[in-house]
Amino acid sequence: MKPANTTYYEIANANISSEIMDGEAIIINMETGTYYSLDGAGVPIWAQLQKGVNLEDLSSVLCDKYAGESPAIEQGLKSFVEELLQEELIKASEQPEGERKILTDAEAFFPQDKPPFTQPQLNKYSDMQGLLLIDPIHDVSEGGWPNVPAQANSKS
Amino acid sequence: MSRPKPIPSLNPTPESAQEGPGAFFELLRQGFHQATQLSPEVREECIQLGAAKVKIIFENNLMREKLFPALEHLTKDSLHSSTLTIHCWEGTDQRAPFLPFPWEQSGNIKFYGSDTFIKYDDESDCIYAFKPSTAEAFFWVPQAEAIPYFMTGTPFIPLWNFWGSITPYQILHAGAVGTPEGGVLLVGRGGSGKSSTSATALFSQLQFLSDDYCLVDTDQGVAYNLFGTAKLRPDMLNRFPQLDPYLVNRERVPEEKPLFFLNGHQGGKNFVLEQFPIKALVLPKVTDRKQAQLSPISSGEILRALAPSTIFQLRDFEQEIFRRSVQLVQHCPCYLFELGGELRSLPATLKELI
Repeated sequence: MKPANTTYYEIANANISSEIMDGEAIIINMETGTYYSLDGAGVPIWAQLQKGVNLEDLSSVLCDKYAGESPAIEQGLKSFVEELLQEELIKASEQPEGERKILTDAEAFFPQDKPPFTQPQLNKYSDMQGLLLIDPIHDVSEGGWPNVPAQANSKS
Repeated sequence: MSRPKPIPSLNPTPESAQEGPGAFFELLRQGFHQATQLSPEVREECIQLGAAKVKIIFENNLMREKLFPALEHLTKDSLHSSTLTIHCWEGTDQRAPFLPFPWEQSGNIKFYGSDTFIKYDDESDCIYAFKPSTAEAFFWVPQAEAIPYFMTGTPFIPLWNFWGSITPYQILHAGAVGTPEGGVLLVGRGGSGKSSTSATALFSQLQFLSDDYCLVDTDQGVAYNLFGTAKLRPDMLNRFPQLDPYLVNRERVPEEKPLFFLNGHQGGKNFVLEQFPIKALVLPKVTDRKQAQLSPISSGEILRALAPSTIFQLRDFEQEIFRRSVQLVQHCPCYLFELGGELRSLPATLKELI
C-alpha cells in the first residue's frame, strides 16, 4: 500500500518493542524473531510513529529540521514508511479525534543544526528467526482440558 | 513416545476446573503427590540465589542426580521463606493424571492462563509449570533416564525465566567473568566467543561466573551465578587442557558438547564466583588479530547483541526481558572485544574494565 499524506500511522502491534539510545533505535518483532536498527532521520521518525502521526505533519517538520528540497524529503519519508509497512512494524490507522499533537516527544531526537536530509535506512537482522522457525511453539487457548478440542472428540 | 490412555475415573474437582491451565496445574500437583507418596527417596534441597531462596523437591535420587549437580554449589541449609518451590518427578500412570495432554497440536506448547504457565518442551518431552501467585513450579518427565545432558548442565531454564516475573532476577544469555569487586557480562549470540572467553578466566586473575546463562538484577546492576557448569565447542577442547579433569561426557563428544562441572561436583575444585557488580557489557568478536583489543561501542549495538538472543531463546516474558536489557545497557559502559589468537591474554585485557 502506498502511503498517503493524510494517513495516520502507528506501531503495528504489541509484539513490536523498541528503544532509542545514543541516537539509534533498536526495534524487535517478538513474533517473527526479526530485529532492526535505525539511525539518522529514522530515529525521530520512529519516535513519532510510536505516538502516532500522519505523514503530512511529519513531512512538514522534517522539512523544517533538515536541509533539502521538500519534494525529496517527502519522497524519502514515503519510501521509508512504505518499508516499515512492508516489514509490518507500523500500520495505517484512524486518526484520533482532537488536536493533532506532533513531535512533543520526538523533539529531543531531531538535530539542532539542520543537517542535510539523508534517506533513513532500516537495518534488518534475521539471524534469530531460525530459532523460531525450527522450533516453533504453539499457543493453546485457555479452553483446553477439560474442554477437549472438537477434533479429538470426533476421533473417539 | 506414545501417550498412555486416560484414566477414566479421574476427573478434576469443580474448584480446580475454573480454567484449562489451572485445572492442568492441579493435576500436576496430584501427580507429584502420588509420586512422592510412592517414593522412599524424596529429597528436598535449598539453594540461595542473590537474596532469595529456592526449594527444590526431588521425587527420587535419579531425578536429583540428573538435575541438581549444576546447582549444588548454591546449597543453603535453611528452608525458611523460599521464594520458589520446584517439584520434580518422573513417571506415568497414576503419577501423571494429566495425561493424555489436552491439546491437539504436536510440538512445543504454551498453555497459559491468567495465573498459570504450562510449557511443554517437545525435544526433551517434559513439562514446566509455574504459578506466580503461589510461587510454585512443577517439572515432570516421563523418564528421568532420558533427561538430556544439556538439561543436566543448565536445569530448569524456563522456570528461572518465569521466576523472574516475581523477583528482580532475570535470566540472561550472557557469559560473565570478574572478581567479587566487579565483572563484565559477555553478550552475543551463540558462537560469538562468550563461552571460550569465559573459560579463559578459569585459570587467571579473573574468576568465572557463567559461560551461557546468569541471573542479573538489572535494578541493582549485579550478576549472579546460576549454573556451576560450562560447555565448549568440541573443537575448542584442545585449547583448554586444564579443564580435562572437569569434563563429564568425554565419551559422548562430539555428539554432545563437552560439559564441564566447575562447582566442585564430585570433589573437584569450585571455580565459580557467586556474584559481582557489573562494570561493563562486552561484545566479543572473533578476529584474526594476534592480540585482543577493547574499544567502546554504542549502547544500541550491545542491546542488539543482548536482547534478541535472550528473548528468542527463552520466548516468554519477552517485553520484560527487553525492558530489563534496556535498563542494563543504559547504565553500563559498552565495549567491543576483538579476540586475538592468544587466549591467555584475554583475562588481562578484560581486567582493565573492572
